[in-house]
Amino acid sequence: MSAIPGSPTAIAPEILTADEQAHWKLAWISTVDHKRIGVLYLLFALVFFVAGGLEALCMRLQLAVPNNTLVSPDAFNALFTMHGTTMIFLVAMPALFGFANYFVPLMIGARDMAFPRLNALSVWLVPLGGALLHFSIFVGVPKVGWFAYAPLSETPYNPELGVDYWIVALLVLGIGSVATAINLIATTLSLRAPGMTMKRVPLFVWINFVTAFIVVFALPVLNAALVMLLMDRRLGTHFFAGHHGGSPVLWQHIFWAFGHPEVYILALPAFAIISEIVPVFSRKPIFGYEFVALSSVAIAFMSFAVWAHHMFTVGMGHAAETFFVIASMLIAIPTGVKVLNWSATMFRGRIRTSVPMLYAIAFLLQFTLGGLSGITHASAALDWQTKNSYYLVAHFHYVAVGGIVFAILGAVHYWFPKISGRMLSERLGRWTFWCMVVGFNATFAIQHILGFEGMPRRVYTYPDFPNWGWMNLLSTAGACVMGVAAILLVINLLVSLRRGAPAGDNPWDAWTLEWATTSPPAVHNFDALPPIRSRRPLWDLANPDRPDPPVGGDAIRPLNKFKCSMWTLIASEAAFFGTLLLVFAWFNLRPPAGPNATNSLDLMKTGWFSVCLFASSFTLWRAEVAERAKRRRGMEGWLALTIALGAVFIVGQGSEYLGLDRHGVNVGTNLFASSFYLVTGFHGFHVIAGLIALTTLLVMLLAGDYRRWRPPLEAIGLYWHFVDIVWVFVLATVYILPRLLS
Amino acid sequence: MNEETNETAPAATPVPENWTRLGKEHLPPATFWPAGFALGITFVFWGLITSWVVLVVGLVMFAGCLAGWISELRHERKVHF
Repeated sequence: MSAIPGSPTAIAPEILTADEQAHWKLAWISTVDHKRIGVLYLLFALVFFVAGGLEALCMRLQLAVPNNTLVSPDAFNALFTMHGTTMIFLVAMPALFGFANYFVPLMIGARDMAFPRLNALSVWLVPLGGALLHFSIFVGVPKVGWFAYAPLSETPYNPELGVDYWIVALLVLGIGSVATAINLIATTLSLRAPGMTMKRVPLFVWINFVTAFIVVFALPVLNAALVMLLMDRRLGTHFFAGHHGGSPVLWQHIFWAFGHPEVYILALPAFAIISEIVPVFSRKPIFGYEFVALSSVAIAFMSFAVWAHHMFTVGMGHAAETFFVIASMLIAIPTGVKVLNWSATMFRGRIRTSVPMLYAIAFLLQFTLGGLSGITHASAALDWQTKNSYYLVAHFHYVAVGGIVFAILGAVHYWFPKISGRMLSERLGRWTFWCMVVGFNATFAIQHILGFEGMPRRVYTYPDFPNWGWMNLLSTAGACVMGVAAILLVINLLVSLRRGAPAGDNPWDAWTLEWATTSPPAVHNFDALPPIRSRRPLWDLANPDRPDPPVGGDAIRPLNKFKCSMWTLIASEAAFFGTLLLVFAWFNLRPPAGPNATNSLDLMKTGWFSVCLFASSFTLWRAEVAERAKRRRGMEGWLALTIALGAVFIVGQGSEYLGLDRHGVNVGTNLFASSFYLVTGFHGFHVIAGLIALTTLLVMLLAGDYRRWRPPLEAIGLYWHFVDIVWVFVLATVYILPRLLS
Repeated sequence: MNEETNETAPAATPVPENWTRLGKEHLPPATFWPAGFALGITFVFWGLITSWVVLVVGLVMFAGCLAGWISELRHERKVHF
């Protein structure tokens, strides 16, 4: 198969090669090709979309009429927990990662992601995490909502294993998400084709690049919270159990510190899709490229400063509420900038209302409505009245479905020809679209009114109050119409995959590089690339007499992918340890009764083994110096000394644990002990991981692996130095600060 | 695409005028280690909430697949770089 467009083999009838047809299952399981991995993400998302959609339908059928008994209260709670978790973690995120995986490398002219094997690992964590979550069906489905508020999620209120499965499933999915984000960042920074400067990359790439940073910083915060909840449930700690001094409100703070950035983890890639579709179908370049890109960066920063608007009803005090009201209103500005950009792009454009564009237009209207109702929630006073009503359900579904799902459907129709080599049926696509629009708005528009009428959310049934019955019935009918749309979509996909019209290389006359190769692309994506001097290389190619003005210089400085990925991993780990240290400070700035940092920790003893750890940073630096000077023996010696010092630290920490245990201070003793073991335990775990990496490297050095190539000492060294720096903060927060304050 | 070595080779098809032909580049071959590694991670977490047997199975898979992954990288480097 050639990757030169226009060649006779440009239309491939199948995505797999002829050799792979015989054992196609193994070919998919073992693939490391970013395109197939992208397709796998999309397939997994589709499977879970069906599951999550059926759960939603069950809920709507239960709510269709007052006092209904179709579904029991417990089953209803399980349904909305699984629906929310599935749609967010197993549908929206995988679908958006799927498109990013498939198209980011193609759009920047790369042949694959920076780390193809890591990419394969990430994708397989999706079905496996999903399997863990759904295995809870056999042991007691979680009934705590996708937010798992404590203390409801604590053992006394939910003793079944379902919540534990929910926790470990999210941890597994979280690992995969962070790995994908690191991969996307490294790919964007290190694999761009000549001429593809950051000023020229498509907005899809820019926005996914920004989103990856949000993932890197937000997911570890959730992971920290999940670990603590799991410790509460399995090890007898009480981080979030109020009756033992823990704080249910702390769970809300940590969860939403992840949860609101998560909204933008889903929304920004949707913006990225719309930023590709709107210009192509308006036959104009995007209006205000820089504003769209920079407003995404602004959103990324601000998304971490608005979490507590989910908690106005907690009652956080006037100052905190005022801050979060203002921050939440401000974040509407960069989002509004984007809406303005897309609208201005369409203004006086030669709009083609093909199915992808229909979805983009619907996105624009519905997402704006969802955004406007979101601003009403930024007002604490109004939020108090509407928070737990169906008004909120309507708001976030206008964002999540009217915005994000519509963008995903637009992307499916836009890029299906590139992925499969065949066009989707336009007629079936329009039917699907109109069913979606009618069904979606019938389902959720009326819920604004229901909310104002006082119908609370998360209730399994309701009394026969005036107007509630018909409004709920209408909402259920709308959900059924959306179900029809989903069926039509699946039929369209299946039929078009077999019998769709050949797509050719560039069926939409689009301008970005993915359309410069065959449909579907060859395994290696490109044999050759067109000149890249502007943001629309294919426009320039098709219009040599009136090309876009060149943007910036041609020179690019691709970064080292190993260093990029290691720095990104370190950023992610910093977010994780930052959360753990804040938790320690939360519980220990006023020392709790019983064992605490002042009366239980031996600073002198810890100081000794800490010196060993700090010294190991010095010895590793010497190993790096020796490596640069090509003094092989010296490098091996310093490396061995680093490992020995790290091992001494671990032994020292182990002896500290034994001493505490002998004095009856174990993980469940009190909140000091719980948070102490949490912070130092995870640090120790990272030291051990570093020791394993360094030992593996040393063994490979001794085996003669790096006679011709430089060992990855610098990248592993970065990690080791980071672990040492974390210990500086641990030492200060856990061992020294409580002493100073007491 | 050379299926044996999984290396991209300059194709025989002509390149349009002004286009830049890309050089030869090694792409990693298909492998089961990442999928196995993912299974190992899942079993480790599953084992945390169920049984030490599941945990041990997960750890063995984790370590085995990691070792396989590293040995594949070493082999690839020796052959292709």
